[in-house]
Amino acid sequence: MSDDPAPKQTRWINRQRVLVFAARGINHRHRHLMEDIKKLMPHHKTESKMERSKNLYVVNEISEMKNCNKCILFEGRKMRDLYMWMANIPNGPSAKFLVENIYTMGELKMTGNCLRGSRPLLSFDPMFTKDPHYAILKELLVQIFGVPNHHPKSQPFFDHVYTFMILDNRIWFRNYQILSEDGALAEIGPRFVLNPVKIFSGSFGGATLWENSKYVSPAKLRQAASKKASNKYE
Amino acid sequence: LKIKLKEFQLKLPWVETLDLVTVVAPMAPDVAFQLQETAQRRKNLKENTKGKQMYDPTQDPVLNEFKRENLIHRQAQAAVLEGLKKLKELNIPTRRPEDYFAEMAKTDEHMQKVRKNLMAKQAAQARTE
Repeated sequence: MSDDPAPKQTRWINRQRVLVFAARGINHRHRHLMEDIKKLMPHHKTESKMERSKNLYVVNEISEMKNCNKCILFEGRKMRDLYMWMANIPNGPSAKFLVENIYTMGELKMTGNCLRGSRPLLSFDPMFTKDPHYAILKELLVQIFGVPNHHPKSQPFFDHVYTFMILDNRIWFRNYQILSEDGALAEIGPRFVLNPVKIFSGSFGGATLWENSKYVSPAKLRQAASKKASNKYE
Repeated sequence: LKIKLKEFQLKLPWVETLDLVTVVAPMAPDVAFQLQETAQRRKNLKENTKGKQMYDPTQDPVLNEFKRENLIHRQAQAAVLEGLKKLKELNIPTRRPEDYFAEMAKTDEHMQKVRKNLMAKQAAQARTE
């Protein structure tokens, strides 16, 4: 036996484990998006779907049982709207997003491909450093989507990049494959847009730190649209 | 908010997180040309069609989507250039050797389908021309 300590064990410092699961009431497209996210993150853990009747505080206990310190929870409404919770488990903060414009990795127009579990570069818009609520979201996104260095299931090469861009008060997520070192890219997918709703100080609860004043729920939007259409022939 | 941020922020070297904040890379000339072309085509289309589908040029969804995707693409490019430079400084291999095989995010079967779809599209394009 050599007395050198195994280097791989000691070098894996950034131990993030993310619990990725859904509450009941998500549709097929949302489920595919969840599967894609799981494929891209080697540091995830799964759990069966949560009953709707359960309180969100239960999630904290579930993650603790699963040894996770981060959590992504998908919550569907009316089988068409998808909400995504991201939380830092014991002490918060957590954020709730409305997910819009979902394209999954299965779609044929995205031509890129990458190693399963390779570490992505995370690219952020400069806006993320200006506003305090975006700064908090950035830190949350970095900790959740960044694959830890030397994670046992990760690959040691860099072949894709996640882009988080702020446009129109929303966060646009794209995933590109790096084709060559001079910046040729091909999109891998998935695509989605996160519309932040609220940021809480605790995990799945606690005081509201920030609330999006421009957020209108999709049900309200549909209501308004149908109302407008109803007066069309008067 | 700021207090909370400080509370849960990780203090780790950059290699552990790989986050980058970059400004958008300059537009490549051929893309700029393509953008112009699309704008022109959309304009022509608008002039030649009568009826309901009238968009304000700043509100045109097709052109806007093109611009937006391009913006995000350039953002990613800037990050790639900077990120790879940083990784090279740290002497971390970035390229995958040719003989290194591992499971990919998309299966071979799926990639075959993608390729087939692309070929079909190209063939259709060639036929119309």
